[in-house]
Amino acid sequence: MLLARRWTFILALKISPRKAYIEAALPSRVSAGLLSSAVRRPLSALGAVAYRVVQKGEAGRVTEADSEPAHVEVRGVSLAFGRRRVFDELNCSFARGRISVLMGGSGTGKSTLLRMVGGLQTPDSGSIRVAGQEVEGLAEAGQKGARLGMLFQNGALLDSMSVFDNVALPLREHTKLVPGEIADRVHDRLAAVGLADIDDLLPGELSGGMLRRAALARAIVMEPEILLCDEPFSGLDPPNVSRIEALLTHLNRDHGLTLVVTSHHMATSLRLAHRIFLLRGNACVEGAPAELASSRDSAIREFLGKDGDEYLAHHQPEFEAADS
Amino acid sequence: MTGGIRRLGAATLAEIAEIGEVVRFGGRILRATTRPPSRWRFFLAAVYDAGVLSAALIAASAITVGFVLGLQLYNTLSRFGAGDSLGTAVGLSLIRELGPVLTALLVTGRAGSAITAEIGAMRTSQQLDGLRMMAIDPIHFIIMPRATALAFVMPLLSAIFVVLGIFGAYLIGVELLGLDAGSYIAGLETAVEFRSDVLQSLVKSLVFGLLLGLIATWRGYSCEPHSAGVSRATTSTVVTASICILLADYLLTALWSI
Amino acid sequence: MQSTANRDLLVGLFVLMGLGLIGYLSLQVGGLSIRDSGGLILYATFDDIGGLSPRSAVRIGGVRVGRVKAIDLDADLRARVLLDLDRGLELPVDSAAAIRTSGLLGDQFIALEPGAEEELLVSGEEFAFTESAVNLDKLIGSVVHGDGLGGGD
Repeated sequence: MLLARRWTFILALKISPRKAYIEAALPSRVSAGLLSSAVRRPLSALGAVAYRVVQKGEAGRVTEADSEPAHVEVRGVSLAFGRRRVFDELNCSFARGRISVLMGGSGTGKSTLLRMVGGLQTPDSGSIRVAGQEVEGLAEAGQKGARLGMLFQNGALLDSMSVFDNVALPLREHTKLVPGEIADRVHDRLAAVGLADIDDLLPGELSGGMLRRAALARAIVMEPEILLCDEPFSGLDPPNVSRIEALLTHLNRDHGLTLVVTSHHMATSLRLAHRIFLLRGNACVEGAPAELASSRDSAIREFLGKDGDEYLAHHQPEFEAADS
Repeated sequence: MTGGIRRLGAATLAEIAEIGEVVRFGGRILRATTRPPSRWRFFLAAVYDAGVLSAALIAASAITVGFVLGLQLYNTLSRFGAGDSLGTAVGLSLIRELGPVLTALLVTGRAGSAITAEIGAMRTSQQLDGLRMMAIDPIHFIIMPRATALAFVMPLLSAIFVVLGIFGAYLIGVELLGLDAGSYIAGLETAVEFRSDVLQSLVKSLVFGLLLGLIATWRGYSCEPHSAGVSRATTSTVVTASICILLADYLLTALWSI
Repeated sequence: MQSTANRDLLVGLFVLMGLGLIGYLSLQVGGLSIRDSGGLILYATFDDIGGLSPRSAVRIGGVRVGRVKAIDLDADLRARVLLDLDRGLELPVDSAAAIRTSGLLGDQFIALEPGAEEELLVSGEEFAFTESAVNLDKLIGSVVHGDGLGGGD
């Protein structure tokens, strides 16, 4: 019953009267003026769009669809680099204990959104709350390490320090652990990502896959609640991609970490994600992988490509009948 | 015509805005120096990179400059029969101007550019962001030790330059041209004053070191995060720092002679 | 760890050398005195000091034994020169101070001529005998006017 209600909710395409809202919902670039309410009705009557469009000043209403509590809340965030507007009143939230994957073509601001959630980039306006707290104040409150960890695309380990020192760094900076305890914890984390006997190597001496895993060890050494991963699969060979994927799944399932991942690695993302956030233009479309893969929006289908079809072939969505 | 003026205006405003940012950046470095924990190990490493590794270059340059000064000044002075004043002329020119300025320019090329490139590469490979994610301030962790190390090594390197330069000119004047060793040393020691010459020299090289530390770290910290950006930032450090050092030298000389 | 220790050693040596050279430049070349000299302080009064300046050398038989610390005018409008001489120097009360030039155009310095008395000069006392600088203009003038060689007191 609950399930049925949820799908109905999703099927009812919510269109706000504002321009960005509509543009985001439409595959073709139809100007807002054309879309009178008369045009809008048949569109929603089609019931073709099995996802929610989340955009523009809908802060109060959009979250009601989420039965899960939000761990990270992005509210009315706008950001422009020079004249280029990357985000315009963006709203979205990432559920606690879930894997949210941010997707979108290059230049749509996936990484920028992730950086804003990590507090590395300050939005021009709007608020980003992590566990109810503004992300800007986390570091001052001494809570950043406990809340947020980030796995960077190229690892971002300090290349003048050994792998051990890199992973130990946050512990040395922010805890009062004695060297023995630090060593235990560092080795524990390195073992967890499948690395041993590389303590004294410099990051430059590691292969791409090992480097990524060492960086993952550093990102989780402070036991954060939320792990942000920027393109964790890019530039890796298939075995390493599966390895990282397995590690991320494990962290989420067995340790309850909330994961926010950017990726253009389609097949892996669809497998990994509980929820996918598709950034287009300066809007954001979200849905479960199956919902997006079975979307009739040609732009979404085009974006997902054959990976979407393959995904669907293996995961028949139960709600297909609802379309007709 | 108006387009050109407008561009000039925009460039001027951008320049002023950047100076404002650099000043704020300097303030953050300054505050970071007193904030615990001390970055003593990083400071030592930076002193090694900027100071110890520059010492050979400074020494070689100083001896060569000393040779040239010995020959040139002797030729000029002996025309007026004042060859005995070589020590005075060499000492004053090295201590007041050549020592601090040439040292600062050499360190700019040798260590300043390297620091910009290093910080720029760290920014490009997101190492600075990585620190921020671990709630470690990169200004405190990366920038401050390097900027203070540059300011710290500059007077030391300048002293090495001055003394070896004087020694180089001594070799030419006394050993090669046969001047009296006693009058060379006496001319030097009589003419050079602590307050007007040695102190001026030390203050100059300290100011040059502070300027270079600020410029080199700022250029790296604010560089565009790609390899072309890093190389532009490195070039810009050498150009900006050299001009600032020469301007500051003029200002300090003028202030000192008031 | 070995390399870190080596590096620290090199940094230490570098800093010591730099500070040592700054010290040398300040104290020896620049003549900065950190101690309050503590040496023998004597006065000498001259009619004409020529090009003598503070920090000019004081010599006995060509050997440097101190320096001119300050020059000012006394009540009789004569140049009063303060000499800062090496600690432990023993000068008889009848010693003389003369202003000489090294070479024809070289630096001027004070040459001391030790006397023969048993009694020694102590700090704050004044030389009884002094000889002013040879003024080149006067010297040339006197030669031209056939006055014979003159100058001095």
